[in-house]
Amino acid sequence: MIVKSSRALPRLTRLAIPAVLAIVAVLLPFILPGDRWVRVAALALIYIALASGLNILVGLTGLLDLGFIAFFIVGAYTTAILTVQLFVNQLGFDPDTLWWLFPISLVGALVLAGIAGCILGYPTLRARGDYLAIMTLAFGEIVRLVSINWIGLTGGSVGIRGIPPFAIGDLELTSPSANYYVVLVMVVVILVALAGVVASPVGRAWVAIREDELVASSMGIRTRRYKLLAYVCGASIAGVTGVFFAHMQQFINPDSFTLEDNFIVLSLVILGGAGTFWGPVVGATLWIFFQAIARDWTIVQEHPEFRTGFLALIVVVLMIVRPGGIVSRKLKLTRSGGDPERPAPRTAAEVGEPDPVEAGAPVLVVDAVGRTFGGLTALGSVSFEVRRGEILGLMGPNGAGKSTLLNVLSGVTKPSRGSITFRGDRIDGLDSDRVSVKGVARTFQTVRLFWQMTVLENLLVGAHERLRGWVPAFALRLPRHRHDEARALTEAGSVLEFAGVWDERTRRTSTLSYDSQRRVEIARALMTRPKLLLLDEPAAGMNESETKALASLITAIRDSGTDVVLIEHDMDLLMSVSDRIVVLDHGEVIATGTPDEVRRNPAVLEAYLGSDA
Amino acid sequence: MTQVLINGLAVGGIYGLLAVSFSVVYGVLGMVNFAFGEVFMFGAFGALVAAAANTQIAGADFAGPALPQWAAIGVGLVVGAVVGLLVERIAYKPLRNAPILSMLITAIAVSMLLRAVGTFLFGASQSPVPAPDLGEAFEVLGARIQPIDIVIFSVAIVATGAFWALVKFTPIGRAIRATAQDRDAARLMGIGVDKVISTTFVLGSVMAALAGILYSQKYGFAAAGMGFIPGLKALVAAVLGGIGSIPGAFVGGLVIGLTEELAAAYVPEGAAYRDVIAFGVLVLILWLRPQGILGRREVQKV
Repeated sequence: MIVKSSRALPRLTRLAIPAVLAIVAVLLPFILPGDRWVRVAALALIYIALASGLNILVGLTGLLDLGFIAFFIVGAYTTAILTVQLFVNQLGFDPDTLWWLFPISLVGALVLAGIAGCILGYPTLRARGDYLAIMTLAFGEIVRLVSINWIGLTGGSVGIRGIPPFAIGDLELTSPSANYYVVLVMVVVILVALAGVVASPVGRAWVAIREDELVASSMGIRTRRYKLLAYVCGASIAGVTGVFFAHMQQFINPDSFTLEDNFIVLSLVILGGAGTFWGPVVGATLWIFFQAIARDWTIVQEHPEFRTGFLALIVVVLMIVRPGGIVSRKLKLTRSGGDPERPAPRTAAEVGEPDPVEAGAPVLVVDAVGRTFGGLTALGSVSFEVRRGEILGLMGPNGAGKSTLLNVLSGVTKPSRGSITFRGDRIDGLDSDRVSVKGVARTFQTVRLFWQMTVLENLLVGAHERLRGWVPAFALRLPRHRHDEARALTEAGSVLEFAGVWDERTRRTSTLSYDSQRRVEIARALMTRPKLLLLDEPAAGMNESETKALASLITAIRDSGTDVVLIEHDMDLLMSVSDRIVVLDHGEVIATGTPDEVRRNPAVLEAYLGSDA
Repeated sequence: MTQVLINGLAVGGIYGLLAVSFSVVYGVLGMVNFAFGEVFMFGAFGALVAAAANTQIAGADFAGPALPQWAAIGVGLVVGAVVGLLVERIAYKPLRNAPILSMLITAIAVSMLLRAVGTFLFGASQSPVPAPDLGEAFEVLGARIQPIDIVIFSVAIVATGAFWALVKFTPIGRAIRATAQDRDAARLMGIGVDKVISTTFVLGSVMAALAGILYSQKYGFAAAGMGFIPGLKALVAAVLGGIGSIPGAFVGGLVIGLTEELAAAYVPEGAAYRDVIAFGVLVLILWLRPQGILGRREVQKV
């Protein structure tokens, strides 16, 4: 019965917070004393939107953007130029009749800010994080300087006046309360859409990239594309916000966006809690209202710099004392908790169609593969094959090239020469995300889980390729995606039960025992529905009984229809589970055969024990 | 033309000095210390206040020490060094093992905080800096040359050379290079890594403060926000030269200085877009060569 209620309860608490917030937000203009405070509230909403947009970059994906306001500027000027410069000044329209132009401005801002996001985001595909920070700063300055100096288009430092207020037909919404409600609608739409995207393959891909980019790509995530997508989404939110801001203010000039605003928005994200959903909301609300209160203090009136200074001080102290920010609620990356009843153990491979390849036929053919690093030859010329239905052990002394080989097979490093063919397709030269999609999954020598996610969320990342889709579809929360996700969760439950860690499904992976972490990592790899699984020293650090249990798991993986390549230092494990063994030494294959043959091979004995043995 | 080139070299020398600060701290700590722009500012104000007979700090009047120019510059350098050291000890040291993103955020926050402190102490408007008495402008090949430009360029090149020699040939320089290459290994070899990092900050801050002093002398003002744009350009220069390399950073500074002066002089409307050009160069570089012009690609390890 605990199980039953635990399913209903989170749903209730999950809706409770947004519901309370929504009620407060709707009533706020009636509670606040006077128009000045309603204006403050509207400004807070603008900052909530900006901070939530920036949070996609900084909080979720782990990309620093110090020029985020540039996108906001692009949005604000898009509508100002379109409405005032083009339609009023050039085409002679009456500004009071232009309310129908607003949606067009929105789309225009969305597109232009999105393009700006692409331009800025493109180098992230390759540049290092800190270079990127400098670049975003420079990009932000370029946009600001252009807006000041391109006088013909932007009105220079005077800016653009006479932007029509929000209106529906003849009804002008000019009162502070009306403005507030219009912006509130925008914020609610943004947050609802964002929540949909966060609890989808897109949100999980972003967090996975932040946590461990290499592992993310080994799960089939095209990491570059998702980083770019983060820029585009963040930029679009800022652009849309800029449009609303321009119509709310009815004028814009370069003073509307100072350089410090970039820092302020970033600070609000940090203050509230980067990478949480409500953090930016809390941070922006607290700060904007605090700032409005502080404006009445004489000391702040005499020294306006204290405002930014104080915020900066908070951030410096916060980074030392509480780097997570005020809100500590972890992000929920999926909306359902999975099935409460223990499922039958099953691997993902059993779900698919029957395998056309006959048992014993080669599935992976490695032909004369070599890899050199500078002058060092890690792999000379390695050839072997993995056959359908087997566990192939890969052994060799330290430095033999096992890990390099595994990296080459999984697309992490490209081979210098030779070819790798998997089920008829060449996979050498493919990026690791494409190798994963072809059906080759891997684990890592040291456990590499997404530590900030739960076990189930980790597994859902493994199902990325099956669940991915179009961002607007996730933002709209289409039922099709919800069903797909539910099905993937059921599958994840079965795979976890198969790996013996179903009981841990709702725990955060950082709290698991070492043995469980290993098993979750294997389960996550199985969630990609691999046809071939590469295990990199899975027994390292395990005790004897854990190793025994692991051996039966590996055998069960093979029996369920996934072929296995096993790198292992534990000879007992390797000899007992492997059907065949390939021995590497100094980057060359020195022996291939059944465990018994390998054990008696003189070359192997020499490699391990020296020539006197 | 000569005039533009000399001017460009002087401006470039200032950017170069500041770029060296960014570069060397990046080398040791792997982070961009945005606050060097503010150390630049404090250096300039330190020298200004030390040279003045009377001065206003935080709105109150004080009698200044009215030191001679060379001593005032020394005070400016010390002020810069102290600010740099305090920043490192208070804000960065607790984050030694924090993710790079946290360090960058702290760096930008420290920069904002110092700018606010600067505004509080020295006011929001520009303070005039009296021009040093270096004699009249003279003519070479038909171009009027300001002596200050020659001085700035010479000082910048000597200071960078000395700094480079220090890092290359002295024991502390060796410790700095060892820490930059592998902090843990350096610690295991008995190097006091924290001390090395602090030293690097102090040395970098001296360079940044010197750049700030030269800048305020050249343009005749000091202001709380004066460090931001030069700081950004110096970062561009450091990236251009491959961040972490001292000669690279300095040459990068010269390239940026020359480019923007040439653009301001010869491109139509170039003066208004002077800053855009420098930043445009950066965006372009990172598009084409994300690791910087002279930088190497980093290899990831699994």
